[in-house]
Amino acid sequence: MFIGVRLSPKKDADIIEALKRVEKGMLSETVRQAIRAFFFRREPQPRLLLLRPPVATIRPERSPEENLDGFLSSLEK
Amino acid sequence: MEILAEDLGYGYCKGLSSRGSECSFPSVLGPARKLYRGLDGQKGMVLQYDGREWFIGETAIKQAQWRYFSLHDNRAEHWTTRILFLALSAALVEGDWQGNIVTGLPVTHYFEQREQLENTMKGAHRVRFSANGFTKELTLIVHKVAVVPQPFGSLLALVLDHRGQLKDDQRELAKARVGVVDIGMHTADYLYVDALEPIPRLSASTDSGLAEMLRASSEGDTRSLFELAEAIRAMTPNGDFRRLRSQYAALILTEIETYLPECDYYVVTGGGGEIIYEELNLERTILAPEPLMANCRGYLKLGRRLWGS
Repeated sequence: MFIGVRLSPKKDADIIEALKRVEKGMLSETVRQAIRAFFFRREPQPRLLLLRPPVATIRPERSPEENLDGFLSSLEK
Repeated sequence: MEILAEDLGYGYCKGLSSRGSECSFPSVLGPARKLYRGLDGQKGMVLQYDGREWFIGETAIKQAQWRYFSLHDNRAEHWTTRILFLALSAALVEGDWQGNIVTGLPVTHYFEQREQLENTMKGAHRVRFSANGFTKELTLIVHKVAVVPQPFGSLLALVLDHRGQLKDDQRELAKARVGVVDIGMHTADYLYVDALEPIPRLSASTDSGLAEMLRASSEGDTRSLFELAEAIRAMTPNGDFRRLRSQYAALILTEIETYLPECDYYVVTGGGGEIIYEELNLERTILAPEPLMANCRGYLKLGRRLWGS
């Protein structure tokens, strides 16, 4: 399950108020605890979602001929 | 083994044969009807297949009462694709023909439609074809079909020689991380290639083709998109046109930054790529030679590497 969280400069009290408005039963206790833990964490926030995998900046030497022939072999079943 | 290289774009169908013939026409067709001199004697392009007759390309734009072109997501199984493929193949060969075909699909649809496109093309096809006042009846027998991500052809056109071997003076480009930006009439394709290995997972297709710019530039103009594209290629850029081109290039630049990872080189190709290349202002950017035909040139080289000829 993914929960989208938009970070805002709300104070902790506001966040607690917002969480209170979430009706009981809508979210399991485990999820509520996870949301609380996320909001009140004081250490650097974890990056929840990586949209585009980073490309390695140091790459092993690769042979374009081998790559091309590997691709071509996938075309001919 | 003879080879046909075919790029069935949303805007134009382009093709080359291993015997040196070349053809392109707008990807438009329409039911044929009798004109002044009957179907066979006229100058236009007409295909007869499976009991029906079709005007093709420019002839359809000018003469057909109903004109069909497909922007359907699944081009591979759309009926217009079969008609356009048969017309293009018939235009490229002299008579009865058998051989293999290399063609391409937009990046986004590559994996899901590859097999369907192979099945559409493979096998024996009997057609009657007229163009430039000549009519021929022929059977096309397609043995093998290789389908690649469409923009890959333009990169291969640059790095491979006519036999499909890597050119010594293009080794640096072949080993690099390359973003191929293919601007067609109705779509823009962004293909990421790492040392000649296409990576569809890090690539994308959008509907930001050249038509976006043409529509913006043609308010009140009744010409077709194809006529507008030709007019733009022929014109000397004036102030208004330069402004539109610059705005359209900004859109393409945004999409490059959004969809492609950082690349060592960018190859710009396609009919739209030719028009906006100067405005892109990207570092280490190469305009593919003959951008409209560049994918086909690469397909033909790939076919020769695969099957010889």
